[in-house]
Amino acid sequence: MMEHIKKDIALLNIEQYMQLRPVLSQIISPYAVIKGEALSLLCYNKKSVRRSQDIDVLIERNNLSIIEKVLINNGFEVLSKSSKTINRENRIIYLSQSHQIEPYIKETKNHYVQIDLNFDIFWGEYTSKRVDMNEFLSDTIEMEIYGAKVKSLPPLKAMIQLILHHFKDMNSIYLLSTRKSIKFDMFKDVYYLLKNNYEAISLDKLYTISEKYEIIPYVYYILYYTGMLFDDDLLKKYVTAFQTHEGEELLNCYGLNESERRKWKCDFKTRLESESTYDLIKEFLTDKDKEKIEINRKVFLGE
Amino acid sequence: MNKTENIQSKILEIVNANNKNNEIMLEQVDMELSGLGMDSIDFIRIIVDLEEAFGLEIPDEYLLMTEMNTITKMLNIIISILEVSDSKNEQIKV
Repeated sequence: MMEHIKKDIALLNIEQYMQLRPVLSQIISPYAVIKGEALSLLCYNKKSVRRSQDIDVLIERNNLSIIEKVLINNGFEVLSKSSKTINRENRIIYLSQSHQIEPYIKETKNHYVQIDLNFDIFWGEYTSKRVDMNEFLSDTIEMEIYGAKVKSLPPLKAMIQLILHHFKDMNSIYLLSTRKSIKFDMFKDVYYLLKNNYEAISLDKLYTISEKYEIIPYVYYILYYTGMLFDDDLLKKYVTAFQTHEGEELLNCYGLNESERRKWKCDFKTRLESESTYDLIKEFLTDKDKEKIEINRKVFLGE
Repeated sequence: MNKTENIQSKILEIVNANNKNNEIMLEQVDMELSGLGMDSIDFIRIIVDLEEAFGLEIPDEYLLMTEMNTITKMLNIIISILEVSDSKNEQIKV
């Protein structure tokens, strides 16, 4: 059974990159294929360790409409989860509350190929200084995945993207309410990305770039919890170097902004092992939180 | 009232209709709306209403709370979109 599932995912992945190849060759603006197989190669030096049903491409927000046209010209269409027509309100919600737009899909003989266009490494409501995506995408590396030559992030930038992505997953009240968004594999990816790219993600380099992007507390947050699961002297040095009062304050809280931020009423082990983080937070949600979760459910899940 | 004042007045009306916590006054047009009670849900409703009222689509790059977090910023963005639209219409006429 497992072998059958693995084979099917491998076939889907091959199909995905086959369909992606002509799209990428027509994109002239900076881009990077992120997460999925690209990250699997960086973390574990081999493909398919991370399972993914879609391909994530990071681009600059201003280039969205041009790249959407490329996707449409190559047979992709918007997968609207909330209504049959592309709804302007949904688009506004994706662009202001999220880091990606509605997925684009293409039906092939045996599969649906899905591409997610990401336009930011922060969450939508992030109010501090944002990172210039053109700068972030300025030093992409080339890698070959299933016969397709793709651009991806170098290890240091991949670590920054991964950390901010995980912080969002672990703190968004919407994600905590709708799926298991604190998982062991998240920390495994962080650990092996660091361990297998020690020179490219040296303490000095990671600290310098985190300081520049003003994200030291978020980096500390993710490294701290990674260190709780992986006992490693090298990782301990990183955790110590990134420790700040602000980072410490974040550790036992959830919520992506000040108005949503609450203290966890249970320890990290309970959150990690829980099959329903919603059960852990539901009694503390305000009416405003519930309204926001409801809107997000409609738009992002089509419920 | 001139055209800019009219647009500003309409923006204020829309923002106040969606921001139930506080009435924003003319003297507060440069103050951050999040500090005056606007949250992410209010923001979405304000954008939808602004687009409908002015018959325009706000470009992707401005659809962020940080890009449109004061009445003045909203005003400047809407004026620039309307100017581009007016100039396109002029070109079509010529």
